[in-house]
Amino acid sequence: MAKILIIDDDETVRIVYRTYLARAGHTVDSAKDGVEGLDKTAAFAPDLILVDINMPRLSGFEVVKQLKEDPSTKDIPVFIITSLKQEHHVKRAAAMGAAGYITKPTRAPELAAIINKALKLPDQPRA
Amino acid sequence: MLEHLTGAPLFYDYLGWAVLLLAAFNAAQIIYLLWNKARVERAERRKDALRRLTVTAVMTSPTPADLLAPPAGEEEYEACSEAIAGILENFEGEIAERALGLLERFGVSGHYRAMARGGRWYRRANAVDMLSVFRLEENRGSLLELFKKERVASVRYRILRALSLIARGHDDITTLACLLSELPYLTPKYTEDLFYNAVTALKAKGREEEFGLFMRRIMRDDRVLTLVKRDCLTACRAAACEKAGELFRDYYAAYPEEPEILAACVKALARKGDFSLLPDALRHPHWLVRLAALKNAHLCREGPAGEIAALLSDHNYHIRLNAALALARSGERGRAALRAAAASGDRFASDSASYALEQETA
Amino acid sequence: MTFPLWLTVHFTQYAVLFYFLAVNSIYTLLVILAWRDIIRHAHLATSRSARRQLTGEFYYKPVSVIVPARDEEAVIVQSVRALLNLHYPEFEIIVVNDGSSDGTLSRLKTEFALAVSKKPVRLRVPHEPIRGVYGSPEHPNLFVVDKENGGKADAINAGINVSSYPIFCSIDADSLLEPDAILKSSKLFLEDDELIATGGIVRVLNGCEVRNGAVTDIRLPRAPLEALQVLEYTRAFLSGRTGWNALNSLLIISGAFGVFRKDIVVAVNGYRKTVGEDMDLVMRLHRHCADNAIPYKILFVPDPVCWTQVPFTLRALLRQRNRWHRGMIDALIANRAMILNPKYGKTSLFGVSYFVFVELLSPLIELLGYVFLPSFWLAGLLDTRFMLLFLVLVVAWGISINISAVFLDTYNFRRYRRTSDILRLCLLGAGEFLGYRQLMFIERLRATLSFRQTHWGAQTRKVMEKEKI
Repeated sequence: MAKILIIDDDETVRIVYRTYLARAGHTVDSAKDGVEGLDKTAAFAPDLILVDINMPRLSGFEVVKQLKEDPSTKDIPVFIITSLKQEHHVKRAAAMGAAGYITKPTRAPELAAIINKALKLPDQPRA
Repeated sequence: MLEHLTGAPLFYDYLGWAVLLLAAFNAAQIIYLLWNKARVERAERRKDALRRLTVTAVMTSPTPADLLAPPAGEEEYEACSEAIAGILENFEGEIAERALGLLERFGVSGHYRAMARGGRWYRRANAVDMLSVFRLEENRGSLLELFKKERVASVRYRILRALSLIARGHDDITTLACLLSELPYLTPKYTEDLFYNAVTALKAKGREEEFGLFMRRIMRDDRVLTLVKRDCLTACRAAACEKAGELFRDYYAAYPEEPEILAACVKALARKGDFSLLPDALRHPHWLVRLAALKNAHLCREGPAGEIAALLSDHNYHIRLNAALALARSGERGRAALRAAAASGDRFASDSASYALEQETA
Repeated sequence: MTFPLWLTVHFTQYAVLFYFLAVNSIYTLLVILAWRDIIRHAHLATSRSARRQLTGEFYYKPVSVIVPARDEEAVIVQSVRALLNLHYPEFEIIVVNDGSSDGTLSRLKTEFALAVSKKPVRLRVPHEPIRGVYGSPEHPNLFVVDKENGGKADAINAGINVSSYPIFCSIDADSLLEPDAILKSSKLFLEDDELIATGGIVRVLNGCEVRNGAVTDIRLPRAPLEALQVLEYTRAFLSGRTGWNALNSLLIISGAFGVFRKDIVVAVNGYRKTVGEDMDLVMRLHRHCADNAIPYKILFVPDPVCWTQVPFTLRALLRQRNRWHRGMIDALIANRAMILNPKYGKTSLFGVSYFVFVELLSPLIELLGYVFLPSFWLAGLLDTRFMLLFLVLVVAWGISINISAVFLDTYNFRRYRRTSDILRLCLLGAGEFLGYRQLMFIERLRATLSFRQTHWGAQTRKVMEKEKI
């Protein structure tokens, strides 16, 4: 249905998201760090981007910032993935223009709800 | 003496041997390095593949153990447990259940329990870390046993951390506190982390009040360090305990001479929106308490602006600065007071005031 | 031959032989100690624990990053952007413009829309007068201090006075910090209250590929001059500093990347205005804590990494080495109370003695070795056999130490992924003796001889700082 890009340095997370979202019918691509993520955004032109905050080298915030600064990508909704303890991440990301956040550990139905809402899709009976 | 060496008949032979030895040693190093590099890269690729396979199996089937071969060697256990740990850390719900099932079927937990009993200390430390990620209550007994037998402090701290993640009730936490008292006080951050984990674990089971019971039990207990009590209070605040308001007020009343505890209580209550202690704290003789009150004063709607303005002339630099910042953030009344102070003759007050005004307009 | 000549020749022989035997043994010992440390480290720094470090971010101590900058117009903006990208929950960046004559300050002003800030300056350590403090509205944690020229030590002192956090990190303007470098260093301060200073590894940026302020591909630079410096850094950091850790004798925390606890640095009155400010500070920290019976630790940790550019022209390189050597001499003279003083324990016995008897004396002994010995041999005064013994001792063993350093570094960190890079480094380990070592020795000899002269030239200026701005 939609094209989703997941940027996370943990391969386990990438595989889980890919499988899960693909099952829901979306086309998924993944990137293992910020630099690759930005490259893939240009090439893959996703409708939604999920970014992990805790990444080595280019941090999630920098990715959000660069995405929002580039006129060709600033309208793509970006969600950050962060853990429960980091409230300052949520505030900072919102200030940068992120569309929302997903907390770790993530639950499948909640993830589905967030994504469907962002993409303005009707809620699936079984995501 | 040197002539003895250089005059020796076999001098050139010795020299030759020395050079050859060094050259051989170096060559051996280089060859070993390149071989090891290739070996490690191969092993990493294998591990990556196995990890990927494990995760895919968990995603594909409700009983992933059916799809995978049980791990045989250390490397395979590592790959498997890393995949499971990755899932447990990042996801909840059905997929986490499946990962736990896999964990059980393959006896990964048992493998690490065994590893934690022997070998070099860093291997034991690693094993304990892995066990802590799994958060299995069945490991509690083994962890307690390990703690008793373990001699290396670094591992013992890790064991306590692992235990804090699987706390069930106030008895468990009391045990934790007792064990903690056997070790030298590490740092505030470690202790806070420990109790934060315990509170969060209890909250997840809907038994937050157990922590409150524990806190009441140690309130009058002199065997528990004051610092530890303070760290427990901070952990409570960090974990956003709903029902702890009265607890904080009771601690505040119980320790009028301990600035650390008073400051922690003030901060904790402020976070919950309870500012009843603020006026008292602002007047406390110890600067730590006043500072804690100031840092949270701006959250209070009808803040005691008069009291805070008075602190602009406090003899402590941090207090003056934070008083100014607090006023700047508390609405028009506060800012008016600041402007008055900035124009006043008191140099210290006016400096802090003008800095704070500028910060707010930015 | 005459007696004085005979004496000279024999003295030279024994001095050189003994010296190089001692030095190479020390280095081998350091390599062995480093080996043990690195094995231990390798087992702990698995990717799992590294990731947990990052996610345990809730607990931290805020850090001030101080960047002294003088005439760094070309790199300063890129540098500051990279710093703003650091992985750390709460930190501030303080760029100190040390009386630049170029457009450093104006570039910062335009790039970050700087406005005058009234951030209070607490006068605790001395420095040249501050002309102004600026803040950036879009980056509330960025501050720029404009002050009169006073040198790097002076600039960092100004940064300390402006900073608000209990820990500070001083880095060079043209260095690149890895995003989790501060996280990894400051975590140690959390876990150990006795720790007062740490240094991380400084690696060579030349030849690497950099994108978006992050190093994406690590390669050995093509130019032999730069590649040789890579070898030197590898040897110095891995075998040198890691080994010193075990002997509690860390005396230099590189000016390119050091993390300190502010309260202790203020207690020793900050940096001293001198050429070798980094070594001087660490020595004074050792002294202060030993004198006041404060339990302390100063550690080198191989995990956090800072990338720095090394000079690529011979002239700039020689100038740098000259400065380093003079700085070392100055620090040793100023802290001579530490030399062979039982009060300072292992630090004095191992660390300081090494610097005095090995590093300080090295140009003189090497003069004997590289110049006198071959001359004596050519004049027929010296046995060929002895010359060969000397060559084996110095060159063959030296090459062996170089290769061991490359081995240790690559084994653990696997930074140079290409096999060709590893082999080239090993080859350079041998090639170093074909001129590079000799050049460095000449420069250090020059530095030693001209020390007194330049020392008087770089007069310390009077500190006039009394008022806040």
